Amino acid sequence: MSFLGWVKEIVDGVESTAIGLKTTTRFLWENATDTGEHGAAMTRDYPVQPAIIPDGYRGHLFNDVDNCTLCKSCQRACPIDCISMEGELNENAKFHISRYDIDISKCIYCGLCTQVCPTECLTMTKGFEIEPANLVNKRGGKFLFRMRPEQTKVKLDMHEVERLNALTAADPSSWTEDDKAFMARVEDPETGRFLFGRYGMGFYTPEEKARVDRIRAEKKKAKEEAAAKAAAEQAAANERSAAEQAAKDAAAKAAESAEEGKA
Amino acid sequence: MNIEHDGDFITLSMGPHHPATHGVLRLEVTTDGEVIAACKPDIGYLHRAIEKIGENLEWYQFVPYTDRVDYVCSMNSNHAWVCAVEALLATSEETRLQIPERAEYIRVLFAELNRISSHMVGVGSMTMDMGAFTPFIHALGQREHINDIFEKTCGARLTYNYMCVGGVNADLYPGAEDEIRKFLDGLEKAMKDFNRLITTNNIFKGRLAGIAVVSAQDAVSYGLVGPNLRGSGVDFDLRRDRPYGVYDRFKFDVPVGRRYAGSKGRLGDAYDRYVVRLLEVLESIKICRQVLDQIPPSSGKADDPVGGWCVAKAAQKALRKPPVGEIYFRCENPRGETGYHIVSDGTKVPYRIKIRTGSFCALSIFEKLVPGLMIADVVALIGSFDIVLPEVDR
Amino acid sequence: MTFSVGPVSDSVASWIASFGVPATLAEIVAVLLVCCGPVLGIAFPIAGVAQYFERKIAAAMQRRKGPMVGATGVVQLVVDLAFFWQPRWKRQATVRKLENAPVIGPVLARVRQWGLGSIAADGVKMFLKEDMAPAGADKILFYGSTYLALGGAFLAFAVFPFSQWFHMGDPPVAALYLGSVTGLVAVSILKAGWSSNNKWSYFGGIRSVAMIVSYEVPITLCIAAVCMWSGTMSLQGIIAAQYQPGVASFLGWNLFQTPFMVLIAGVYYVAALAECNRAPFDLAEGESELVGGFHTEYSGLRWGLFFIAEYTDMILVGALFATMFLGGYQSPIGEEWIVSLPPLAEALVHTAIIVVKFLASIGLMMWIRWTLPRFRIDQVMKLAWTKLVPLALLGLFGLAVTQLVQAGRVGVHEVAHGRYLSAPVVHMDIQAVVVSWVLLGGAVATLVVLARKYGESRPMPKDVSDALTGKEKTA
Repeated sequence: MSFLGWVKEIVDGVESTAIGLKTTTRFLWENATDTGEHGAAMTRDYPVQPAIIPDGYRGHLFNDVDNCTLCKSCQRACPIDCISMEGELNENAKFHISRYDIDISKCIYCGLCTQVCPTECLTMTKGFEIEPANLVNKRGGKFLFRMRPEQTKVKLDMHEVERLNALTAADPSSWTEDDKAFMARVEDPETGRFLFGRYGMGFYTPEEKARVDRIRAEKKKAKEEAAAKAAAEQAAANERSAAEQAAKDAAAKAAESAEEGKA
Repeated sequence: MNIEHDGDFITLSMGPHHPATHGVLRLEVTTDGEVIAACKPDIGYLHRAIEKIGENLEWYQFVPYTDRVDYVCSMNSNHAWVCAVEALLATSEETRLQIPERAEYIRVLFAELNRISSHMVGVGSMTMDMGAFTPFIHALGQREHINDIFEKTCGARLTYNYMCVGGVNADLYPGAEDEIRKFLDGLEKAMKDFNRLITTNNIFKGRLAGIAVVSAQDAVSYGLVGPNLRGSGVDFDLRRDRPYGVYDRFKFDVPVGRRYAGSKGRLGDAYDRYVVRLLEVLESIKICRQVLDQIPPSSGKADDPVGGWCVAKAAQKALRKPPVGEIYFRCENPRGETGYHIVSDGTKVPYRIKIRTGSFCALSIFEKLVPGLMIADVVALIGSFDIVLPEVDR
Repeated sequence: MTFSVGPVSDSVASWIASFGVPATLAEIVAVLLVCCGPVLGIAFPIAGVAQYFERKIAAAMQRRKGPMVGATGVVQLVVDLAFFWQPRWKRQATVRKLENAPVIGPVLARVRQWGLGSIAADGVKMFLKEDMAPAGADKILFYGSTYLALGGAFLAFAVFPFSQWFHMGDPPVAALYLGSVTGLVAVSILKAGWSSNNKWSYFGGIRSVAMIVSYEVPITLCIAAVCMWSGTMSLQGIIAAQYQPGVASFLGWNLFQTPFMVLIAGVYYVAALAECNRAPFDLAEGESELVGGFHTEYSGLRWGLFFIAEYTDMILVGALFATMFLGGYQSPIGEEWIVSLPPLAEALVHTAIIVVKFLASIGLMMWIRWTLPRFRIDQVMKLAWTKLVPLALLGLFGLAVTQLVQAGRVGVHEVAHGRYLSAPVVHMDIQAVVVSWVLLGGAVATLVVLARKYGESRPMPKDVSDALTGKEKTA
């Protein structure tokens, strides 16, 4: 190696180190002052600052059983077979869904089941916090996943969940009789667990509900439009074919009559 | 040399839980001090029998599994699979699908965005293996932006399940095009900072220059593909030479290795492969811009904008009774060609699926390259080939 | 028998004796306080919390927020202990209430945001983890090497002057002593790597020794150069030799004397980085190559001792750099006003100055660590033997020549106070300084230009480097 090459190596080393230090200093400065193209910290202080979840996020599945028709499309579409369901006749001799199971530990959140759902009752919510500590309410009670089938017997709406949270945060001695009855309905006295699932068969948040309703309405409208269009096309086609048939008939008749005339 | 009977050698088990093996690769390395005498890659720690699973799933149900063949570039894997199935369907006139123009453009756009994010992970984790942590985080920072775009479009950050036979699952969200343009501008600037910080760094260059040299002859005969092949100076890119989708409508260069490290380097060394990846990111930016310029506007319907098997009745019908036959379709993925060989017996379930991936072939050349390198070089070598282990094991 | 080490210990002793303690005992306590106080009271805590600042600095460079551990766990523990009879949900509710309380709440939130809890949490974690040795390990060496690592780092502080009065001892061969005890770190790392019965640890130990043995050479050359320049091997003497009367006292510091001294300082800093195993020379740990290097098998507090030893080494390097090149504990804006203070106040001000100086050095080390990638072992060796040693020799030679030329023109200044009297004052006059900077600066600039032009036969292709780093294209 030549002497100049030796010098060049030293110069390169010092220079590239200096450039690197300059770059990292700029990162440091931009991060500290929250300016520049690199901007502020890219991470969020997650449990304190909520995570940003966009619309259409593929989170935990939620089945709105009132609209479920037990068609089993989702079960067939699921590539890992994590969905299972049962139906039964209720006291009015009406067929309804009695058990709807999504094995959350197997689910890969691919969303195929929600794509095939004809009534849009199976949707993916924005829920993603599966860690039990996140489900601890102020009293230390746990909103567990549904552990046993009987735990799904109770279905709470949003107000009831809020009431439950308020009650569990308060001192049990201040509960009224009504509150006690309510708690007895939702809490399993033996295990201390609540008799409903937080996610698998839980509740919509109001925004989620509005969104799903909107999508459902849009799909319904599109379907109706498509049906109307198809019907119109069908009618037009029928008319056309009828007209063609008539024209053909007329032509045939004319030909016949002409033949007859010839004859 | 007879390694087994020489007392001066140490056998090191590098992996499966080694920080630099990018997953669960195990290299059985025989070293003479720091210098390595022999190396035997040991794979299979992540084998999930995806190909066999595919034989029991319907055609459309396999798409989530292609996400998991290579989780760093799920979009590209999706693209390869749906293109393969569409090519199979196109062998018969009855089942041939008409894919919406907009869906084709979105596919290319997202494949290129995912190529950028995959290369960012590749070069970023390589710099981390070299001991520089800051560039790695900055590279992953750019990837986060892409993940945000994907998340807003398809609802997932890693396993997208976005493309489907006959189109894509959802149209771009409103404002996506502006956001992508803004991201591309920011990426160009960030890439310059990244390169100033690490690519032109003397230590980094010195670490990579002249090690793990793959000649063009070797690259071809070992079946290297993608940036690993082009790093050795072989000018071959499926997107340009065998265009699929709408790739033939875009102008872009194909960067090849040119002994970028200067006098210390050699053609086809680790630094060449690294720089080729960086240059490919710049080319992908170009392609993305062209896509955004040319993409046809959305139809505006909520229901059926861009195809998709569950909304396009034709796709559903075709997938129920596909033509009998077999097809091999290959796509240019970030880690090179990904080929799907499908055998169909005319039922709604594939008869056989075979996946050809780039990382597997890149791994096969290790045994030849590693002897003579140092332990620190092995780390650089794994990084320079950008191995992703789920793709190797499948 | 008296144990006095100067006016500070005398005044502390008399203060202790005023409580009715026997005079001899008071003196012993005072001397221990004065000698060990700065080391245990400053160096040790800084080594403990430096990792917190390192994590925060690294995070800021990487667009992260760094540690954000709060004190909730500690508060919960205290509440649990205080109200152990209450049910768990009630104790948890108490903590929630505290978090929302008017004064404590914001404080807790701030502690969490700054991540101050991580300092305590790391310490507690280290204490609570199981201390275990792997099967087949050489237990004596395995356990002993941790103490050796910390011992080597702290032994060096025995001769280190925090001020004129805060120091354990000032032997006339302090520089030699330093050279020998800093080598103990290499021994401890070798022992740790060897005794762990782990191949990765073994590689880490071997690498570290190979590296440190090589880097002792440039470091010793640099220390020799400084000792030659100052005419003494005592650290107090080296500091005293940099004394410059007047307001611009930083002009007397060695670094600003001649360009050769800058060269020596640069070589010393790089070699010292390697000596304390910091990036880009952290081959002994090399977490992406050697998993954890020599401390792969260590857990809990033993690992923590290595950790503290590393940071203590960093402090030592910074402190020695300041001592040799930056005037030690002297302030850059005049010394007279400090030495005219009462001895205890003077000692405290001087200590604060040296602490600031070595904190700056630690900051620079962190800055370098989060910027540069790691070397390879052969490159490290090459750097030492083909770059640093020749440069150090050049600097040594240049300093010797400068001293010869300057022999007749060394100024002798009035020394203000105390120990400054004990060393001759070596300073160049201003013309000589200017001439040397201009001449040598010109020579270096010429070399750099020539090397840029003819140094590399085959640079990176121009279009590629433009595309990558975004320089304007030249037609």
